[in-house]
Amino acid sequence: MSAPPPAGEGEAPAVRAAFERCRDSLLSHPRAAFDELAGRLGLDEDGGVAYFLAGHALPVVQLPRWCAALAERTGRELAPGAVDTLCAAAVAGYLHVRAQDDLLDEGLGRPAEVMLLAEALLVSHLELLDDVAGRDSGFRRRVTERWRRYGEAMLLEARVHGGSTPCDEAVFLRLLERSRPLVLPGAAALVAAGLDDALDGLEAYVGALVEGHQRFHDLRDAERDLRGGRHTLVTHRHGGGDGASLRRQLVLEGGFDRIVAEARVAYDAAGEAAAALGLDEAVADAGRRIASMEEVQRSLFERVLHALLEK
Amino acid sequence: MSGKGYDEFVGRAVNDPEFRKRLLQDPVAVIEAEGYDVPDNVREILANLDPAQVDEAIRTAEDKVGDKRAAT
Repeated sequence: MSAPPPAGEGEAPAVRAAFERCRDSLLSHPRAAFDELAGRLGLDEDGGVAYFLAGHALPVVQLPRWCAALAERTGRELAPGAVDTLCAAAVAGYLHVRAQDDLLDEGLGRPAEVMLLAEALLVSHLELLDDVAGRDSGFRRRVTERWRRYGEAMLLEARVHGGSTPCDEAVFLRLLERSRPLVLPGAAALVAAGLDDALDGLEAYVGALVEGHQRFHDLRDAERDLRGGRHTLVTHRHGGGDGASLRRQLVLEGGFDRIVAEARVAYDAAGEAAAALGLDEAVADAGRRIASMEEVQRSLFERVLHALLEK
Repeated sequence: MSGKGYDEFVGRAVNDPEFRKRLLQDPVAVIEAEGYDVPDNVREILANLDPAQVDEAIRTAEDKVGDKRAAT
């Protein structure tokens, strides 16, 4: 079995195959709803390549491939086709979350269809994980626990967006459980390879990664969230006024730099956790995320200063 | 004796968050304390930032570093 190629163009065939296999796992009615979701996200244009391989996207499809590569480096091999199965599981799990989140956050999609599509995607995700990790009881408990916490976090988010719960730092950290099922396809690869001892390290990596990702994501979306009435940690800290007030607080009063610094701490922790595992691809990915985030920061302030000083 | 150059000043304001924070809080004092040779009109602009101009500059900058769709 050859090692998966590094992130980038080499990942595109795996993404396309995972997208198609995920779609094929659905029966005809949910498949129609799936196609509508895929159209809204632009996945139908290239099989999800641009969407899943964007530099600032979460490594949904990449993570099980990185874990399989780690297994191979330690002399373990997965069954033929296992990595492809886990990539499809990753896409199904991610789109389950996306369908629900878009409905709850932005009212996108017809509720009854979204509910049924999300359920069908979750069933596919679980079935595909089972195909690789089998009936390992420890892994089953991990899967159950991750999705239970996901459900709790989604309900918490609904209360946050309803305005009954402020999104302070403690709530922000609890809401990150929405993203942590990301770990499961990679964890299945490790379990199938007999690397159960690496699971806690993988959880630590994913926990730190999603924290850094969410902090920067909420920063970039802050004004859109404020306009849309969505409450996040950023709007909690800086969203007391209108958009102009938010922009001033973020750009002139240090809010933007503070959040980038917090995201950097989390990405550094992700890189350290990945390094401790020997998950080389994730170490490089964490470094790329930091560089990309800091380039956005630098570019923003360069443009602001030049716009101001040229007047 | 001339101070540190204007290009260095702008570069540091872009790349050094701690310096930027102090600069935006009290531009004249920071420029003096750090010994930058900054044109008078720039000192004037920084010392009297017009909220409407600031807002326009930020909005323009944010538009240009905007995001694309991705798995987030």
